[in-house]
Amino acid sequence: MSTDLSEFRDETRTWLESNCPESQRQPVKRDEVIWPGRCQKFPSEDGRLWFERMRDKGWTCPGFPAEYGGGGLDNAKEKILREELTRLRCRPPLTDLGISMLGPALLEFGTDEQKREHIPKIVRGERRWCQGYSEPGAGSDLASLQCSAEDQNDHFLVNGSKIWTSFGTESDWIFCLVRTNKEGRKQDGISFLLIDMQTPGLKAEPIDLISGESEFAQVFFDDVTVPKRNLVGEINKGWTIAKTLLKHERKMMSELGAGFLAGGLTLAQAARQYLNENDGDQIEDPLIRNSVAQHEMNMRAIALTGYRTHQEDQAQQIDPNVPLIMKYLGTSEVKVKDELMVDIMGLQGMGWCDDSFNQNELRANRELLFNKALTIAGGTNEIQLNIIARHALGLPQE
Amino acid sequence: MALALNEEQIMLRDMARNFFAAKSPVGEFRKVRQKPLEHRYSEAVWNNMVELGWSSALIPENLGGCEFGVIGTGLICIESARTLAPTPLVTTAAIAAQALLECEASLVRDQLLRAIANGSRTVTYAHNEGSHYDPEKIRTLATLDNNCFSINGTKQFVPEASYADICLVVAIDTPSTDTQPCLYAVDMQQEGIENRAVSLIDYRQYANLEFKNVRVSAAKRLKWAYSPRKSIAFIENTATILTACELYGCSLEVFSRTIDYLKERSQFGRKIGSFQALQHRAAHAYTQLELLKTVVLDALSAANEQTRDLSIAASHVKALANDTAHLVMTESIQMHGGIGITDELDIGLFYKRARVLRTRHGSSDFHRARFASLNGY
Repeated sequence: MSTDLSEFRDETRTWLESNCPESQRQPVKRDEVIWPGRCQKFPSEDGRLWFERMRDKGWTCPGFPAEYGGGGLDNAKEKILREELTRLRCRPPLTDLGISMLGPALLEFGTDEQKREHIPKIVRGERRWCQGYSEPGAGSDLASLQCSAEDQNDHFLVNGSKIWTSFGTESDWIFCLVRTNKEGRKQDGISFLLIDMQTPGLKAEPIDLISGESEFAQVFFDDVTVPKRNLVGEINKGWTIAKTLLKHERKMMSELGAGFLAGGLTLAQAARQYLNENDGDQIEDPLIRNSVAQHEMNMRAIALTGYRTHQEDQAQQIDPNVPLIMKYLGTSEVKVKDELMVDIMGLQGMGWCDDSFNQNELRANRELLFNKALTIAGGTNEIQLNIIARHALGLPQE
Repeated sequence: MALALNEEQIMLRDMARNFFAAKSPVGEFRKVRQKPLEHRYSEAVWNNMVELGWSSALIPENLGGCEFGVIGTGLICIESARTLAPTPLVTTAAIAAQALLECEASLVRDQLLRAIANGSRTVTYAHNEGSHYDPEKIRTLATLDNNCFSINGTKQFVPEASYADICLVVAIDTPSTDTQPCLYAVDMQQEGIENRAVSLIDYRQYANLEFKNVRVSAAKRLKWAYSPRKSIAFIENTATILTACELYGCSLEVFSRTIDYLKERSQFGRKIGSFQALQHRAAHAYTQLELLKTVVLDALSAANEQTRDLSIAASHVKALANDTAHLVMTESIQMHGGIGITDELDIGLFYKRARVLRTRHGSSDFHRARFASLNGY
């Protein structure tokens, strides 16, 4: 390795060790995630410090170009930074769809003006972004979406509705797929539009879920005026951008399960605590033990496969079909774990709200209920299998 | 941990793939299964493999070997399973050679390794005694008597044992306070060995061996290079991983033939591969095969580097290979319809081979329980 890179690693390690507060070096719980924008709240003073220090180095988005306020790191240095963050188990200083999805899309498809307006605010955590893709009539068949943007010469007039918008009520801006042409192939009449959620005529309403939470919103557009400069890419060419973003989303979702669940009980700990009659490490119920081992093997296989794609990528022998399977496998396995955890806890794991139940127990059934979304959002399991059948196996289409 | 193959390994794999397709297609296996039970292997294919150096894949260069390591050996085993090549590759070149390499260097050991390398001797390894995999249960005894050992006991379903020249027998020394198993190199021509060939559904060569006062000189009692427990565990782990490699090879082949069939067979006026009910099942099987590929590479690499979590990797790969082979084989038969259960189609031959391999070196439940113990639960 060049001296430049090993120096960078040393400097980074030293800087992280003196700047990442001790409390920010543990797995993050759901209510401790730091989000950007007008509703930004810090769960702790340490969280605020950690966010501000990383923000000031541009390391909330280490790979974004420095001219737009990003960290400006090349791939090699960004990888070193990520390795050092993992080594210290640092929490993400900021979490947002702007960082993981819109930012990379703007850098690839946006104009210089768009980058100057939006990227610095994403890096500094000043705007929270949400995504407007699905509609009440366009779920798995996303390309049939109807929410329309009419060309009014100097602006677009947007009418329609978006649904399953994660954190739609707390976000500042929304990136949307809208219909700009009703003729021809449905994929060819879609455009990609950025919309300020404070614009008159726009309204976001929370949707109550079986988990008791309302992470998703429905967003209504009633004659919403959007400036022409907010169109990303060419008119009617938004589907290409959407497909690129869906790949990011699926990759994120395939990694998501393990991250959020960290910090609670492991299945083995739970089995000892709720089921074992005697002291001892071995799970006494042989069927539960078998199921736990099966699940842990699957998680190990999925994690190793992620690592394999990384190694194949570096050896330039990547199989483009392998990333296709990760969302399907990762999200399905998280649901297996949730069901198993509640089985292990029994009725004690099904408490809704009461001080008869501890945090782990309440959390177990909230995960169980909420995570049913994982195999639906970002392309259902069935859509994923369709994609695998077509692209990886080359099976004939109807 | 190497989960991507290097150039040398890719070359070896491609060479093996071409070799088995050309020299030992499934038709060769069909010929061999007509032979008498005692001769169920292809001498011609094996001789070719010896010439290519594959009988010595694991053996170090200073003993006349090619030293491909466990990864290279595993790659050949995978490719050999794709055409059901009936040779002593796994038994002699992989498992018996590995057992000898776990022993201290000695005249007997080094001669045997050289003989495996140059193809002059077929060697089998007899550890498991019964119908189920139970490596802890060893009842075969070796009694010291006048500078000689006398072996008594039974080993069932020993692969390639009817035509092997040498059998490496795992036995417990007696009388001794130490009940650790030792390894004996037994000449199969020796008096007192009852060697009865058994016929299993996979048409391969197995025999039940009964040892009655079989005399073995002290020099043929091989000394473990490390502790007996550690050496035996390493041999068993390697054998388990290579058996999983065979299962992976069989599964890959059957899956690829099934995808071809889905693309060519028409019913109701369309290719059956266009039906979503079949597409989803095929796509799911593909995801499992990709996971298996990863875990096979992980386990081979763990054996190659002798890492501390080798036992975990071995149990993981065998359980996953068993389950994936079961899924792929049964789905393939079902998707082929009636022809899938005929002897004319090769799919059934792969199914029968895989069914035996799933039981050898441990069922999925066995390995899940072991995986749980190794992980502290």
